[in-house]
Amino acid sequence: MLDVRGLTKRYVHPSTQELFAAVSDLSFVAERGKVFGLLGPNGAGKTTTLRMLSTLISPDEGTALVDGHDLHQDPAGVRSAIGYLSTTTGLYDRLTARELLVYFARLQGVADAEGRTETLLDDLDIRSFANVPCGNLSTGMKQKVSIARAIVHDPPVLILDEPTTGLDVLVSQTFLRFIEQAREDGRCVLFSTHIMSEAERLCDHIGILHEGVLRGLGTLEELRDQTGERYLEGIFISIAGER
Amino acid sequence: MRSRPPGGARSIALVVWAKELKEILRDSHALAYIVGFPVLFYPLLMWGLVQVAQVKAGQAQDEFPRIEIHGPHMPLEPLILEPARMEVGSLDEGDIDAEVTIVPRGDQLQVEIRYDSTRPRSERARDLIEERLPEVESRWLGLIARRDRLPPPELPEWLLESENVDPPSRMFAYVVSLALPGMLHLVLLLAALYPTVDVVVGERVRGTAETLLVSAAGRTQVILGKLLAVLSLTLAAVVANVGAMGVTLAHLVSLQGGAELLALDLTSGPLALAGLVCLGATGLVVAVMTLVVTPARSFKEGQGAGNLVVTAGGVLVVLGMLPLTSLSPVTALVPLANSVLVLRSALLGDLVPGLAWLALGELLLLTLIALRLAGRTLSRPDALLG
Repeated sequence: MLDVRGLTKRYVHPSTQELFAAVSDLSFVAERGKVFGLLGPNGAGKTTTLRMLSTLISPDEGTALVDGHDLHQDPAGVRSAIGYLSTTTGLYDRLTARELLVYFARLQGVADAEGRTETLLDDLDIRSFANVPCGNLSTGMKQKVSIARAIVHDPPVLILDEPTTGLDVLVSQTFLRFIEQAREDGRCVLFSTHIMSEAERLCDHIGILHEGVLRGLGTLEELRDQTGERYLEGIFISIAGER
Repeated sequence: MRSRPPGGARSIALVVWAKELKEILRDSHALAYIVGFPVLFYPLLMWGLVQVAQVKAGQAQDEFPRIEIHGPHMPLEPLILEPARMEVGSLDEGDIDAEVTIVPRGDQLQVEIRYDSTRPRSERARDLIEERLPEVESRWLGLIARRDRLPPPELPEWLLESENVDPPSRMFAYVVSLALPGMLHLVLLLAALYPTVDVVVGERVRGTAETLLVSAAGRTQVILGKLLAVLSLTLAAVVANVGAMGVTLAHLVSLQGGAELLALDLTSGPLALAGLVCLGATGLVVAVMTLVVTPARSFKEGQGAGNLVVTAGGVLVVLGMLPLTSLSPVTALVPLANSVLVLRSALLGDLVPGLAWLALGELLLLTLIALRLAGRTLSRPDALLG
């Protein structure tokens, strides 16, 4: 479903002007109906990885197959197979929730954009504020609209870049329930976070990324066995501090 | 899966175009910019000009008209009674307000008056002369009668010829042809600024760029839709300005004495060609504006970069507005100035089609180059992501 092979991205450091690897030789597989958590502190390379997998930036080396579409050879196919969401992705303030969903449905090539929008308005309990401009919505309402937008084309793969960062507990719950529902629906979910409790609750597989390198990979149980630590925070410190 | 491959470039570009228009037209600032400004500005400008003209006319009433008189052996004293006074100088340069020549032709007087109807004091001088001519004629006939020892004859009509050295129609047409194309192009520059910054920089600032770029719609299609939206809004602003300007001008013309006052040589062919050239200029402004504001990381930066385009473009427009500048093979290659000059020539009826086509070709070429560069800039991975 999501097969990542030797993904590497280098940047020129803004202060030293030297080339450094934001992500180095990253490989993992995420499966359908599973949640794969990419864990790491700020600057670990999580966002760069997710941006490469969503074709926003090109990898310098390596590739990935997303629902069978190659990043380099079929970026349009990759884009049609993914739903992308992050806390920084905003909504168009002057469009209503309904207009925004129809807009993205059309961009994604959904055959019946209006019909799909009406379904999502009911599924995500948006109908009561469907005609309100997004700029006038509360944070929780906005997150529901963001989720609806991400799945408007019913993608088999979801890429979520720290979706709960900066949200209060109640709004975060909306997201966490959404991820659980996506897994039940059989989607492949790639989810980055630095909140360990979320990862413990949701992730079937975990990759620990530190300084652009994948330092640990496996189920929570496998990582516990590797490190002898019970909680993910301890596991993370144990693995990230090894080298 | 319900999704299918998105439609061609045209359909996706139209989806983006429609969304951008809907969004911007819901912005009160944009509406004020596109509709409110022209609706209020031109009537207010006209009202101000009328007030200034009335003040000037009032001042003219208080000033003595200066008249140069030619008429050897004629009793000219009535003409220079107060408030008129005699002066010598050039009417064209404004030293005097009217010039009158009175010559006897048999038993009639031939009177020639030269004046400038665009100057209220000159019109007053002409009125004074016409008002006092019967007195001059009466005295002249009295002199003849006394010389010939005959009773004073009946007053015959004199032969009056008035020459307006600067007819208002010519003056008005000249001013309109000088000011209107320049103002239109300045409006065009200003009108392109707001929507370009909103459509291009806004996507990054509001954090909507990521979701847009990971959609199945190709970047080229998205960029095309955005450019079309900016072009449409800029043209809408220009049309709104032309409309408001036209209505105001028509009202001004009717106040001043009818349509014959506006002696513009309006013929459809040259005007259509000038319209095409103006469309080319609009495309160039939008493409350059997009190219320049794309790297901006905030609205403030975007407006700063856009203002550079407005300033540079404004200099070129003013160059085209200068009275001594005319359309030539050289000026036809100066972007924006050429569009101003083509429109001016079309209004005055002396447009050389070859020069207009040269200007159009040059503008289209520059537009294509700027669009290509803007497309490349917008297509860079970090262009909209920041």
